[in-house]
Amino acid sequence: MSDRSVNDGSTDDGTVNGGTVSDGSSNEIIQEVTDFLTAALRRPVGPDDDYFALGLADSLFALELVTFVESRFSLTVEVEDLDLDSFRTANRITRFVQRKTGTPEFTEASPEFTETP
Amino acid sequence: MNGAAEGAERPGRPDAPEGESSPVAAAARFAVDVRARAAEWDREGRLPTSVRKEVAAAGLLAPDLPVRYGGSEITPSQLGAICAHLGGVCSALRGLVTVQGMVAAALNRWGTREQRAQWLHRLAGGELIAGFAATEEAAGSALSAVRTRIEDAGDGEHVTVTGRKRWITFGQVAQVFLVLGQDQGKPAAVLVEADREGVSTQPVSGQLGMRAAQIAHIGLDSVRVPRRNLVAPAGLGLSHVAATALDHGRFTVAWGCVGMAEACVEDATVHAAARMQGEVALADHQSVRSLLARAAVETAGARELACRAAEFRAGGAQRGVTETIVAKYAAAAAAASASRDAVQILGSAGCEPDSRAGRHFRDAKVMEIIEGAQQVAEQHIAEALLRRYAAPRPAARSERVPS
Repeated sequence: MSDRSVNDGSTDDGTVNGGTVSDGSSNEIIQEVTDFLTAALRRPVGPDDDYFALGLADSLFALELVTFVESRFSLTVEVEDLDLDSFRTANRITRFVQRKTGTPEFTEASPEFTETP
Repeated sequence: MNGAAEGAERPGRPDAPEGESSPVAAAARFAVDVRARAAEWDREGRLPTSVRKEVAAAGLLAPDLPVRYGGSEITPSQLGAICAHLGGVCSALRGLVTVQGMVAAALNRWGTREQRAQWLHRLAGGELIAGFAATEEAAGSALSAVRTRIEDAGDGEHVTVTGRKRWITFGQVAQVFLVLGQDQGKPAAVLVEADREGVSTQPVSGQLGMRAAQIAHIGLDSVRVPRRNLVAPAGLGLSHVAATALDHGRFTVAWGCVGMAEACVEDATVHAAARMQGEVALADHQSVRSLLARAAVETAGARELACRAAEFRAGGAQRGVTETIVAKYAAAAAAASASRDAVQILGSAGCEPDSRAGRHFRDAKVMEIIEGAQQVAEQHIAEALLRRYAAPRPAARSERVPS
């Protein structure tokens, strides 16, 4: 899936590598997440695109997304974590992963970031 | 067993190396013991209470649950083998294992620690029989259309559940239902005990198949249920709770169908070898051999796909969702065609009231409809293909939320 054009260019470092364990940097996580989303939804997905609101997600997608996040980042999504809002955009998933794995320094990979106070 | 056991004996075959005390061996023995009684259960439209208790005592209810919740922590392959053994003699019996497993899987995955502690032991021990109450008049394959309402009762501690559920397997005897509804427009799941005021059951009889599965339509009339019975936050009742249950259900149905198809191939072959017409055995007709060969190959293919799904599932929770859909699709089709051909070869014997092939023929048709009809499975399988091989579509109209 890493051969796909991923998003609107707002994530940039190009360190995607689908076969290795992430070192936890937010850019790497968000790249992997947007790669997964783009492949699963068959559309380019930007870091703040709400694919549930866009109606792109089919009935099995939500479970697949949880499974992807669990297996790729070696964590367990508990029911206590199960807030749809944590999973509605790539940026939010990235924050969720960092919260669960305790990796620091989340930097927004959002084009709006500079425009938002 | 998983990928590492490639080439080893597949569980579920009569010669599979299983310890005497394993749940798989127990299922094999159980299937042999009840084989002669299944036709009677079908005719009478019920599994005797004692049989449900024996199934529980043999450790065949939710045996894949963790040991700490009363399960045996068996592998997906072992669970599959159990369902093949039971499905080969009685689909209703396999259905009992399926439904209990679906509700247990959903609670194990998405229940809170307290909910797991409260419910799972009792499900695994058979102290409680569970029903999965999703289907409604206007919501079959498209479960997002469910209209059952889950509403705040106003006291901060309860919700009320109102709606009508249909075709609930073992709904006549289930003591608790996992109900799919809408909570303020969001899909939500809630456990409703059958003895609560406002719960009514309407037994269904004479339906095409699964006649011993004690199916019922369930009425829920402003049933007050404590909030602690809500499973997962509102919004996730369908995409997570029901989806986990249905994924588990498809897996056990797939294996049940493998058992049905194998039983039909066996019955048809035995009959074809023994039955003489005009001094020629049926098995000496090329056309009969052709039917047998096709059924045998389709059945063997279904078993391999079910094994493949089991291997994927051994990788962890929710792995192998698509592989399970493929297996269920293939196995339901194999059971339907093998049972059809078995009835054809058996002739009048296949049409007798207590014919095993005839019963499997009726039950197999149901398997092509439940837990996602064949056409729904095709949609998903094709979608997975498109993801893999087709180029992404253009970017969607942007709808962004602040992160």
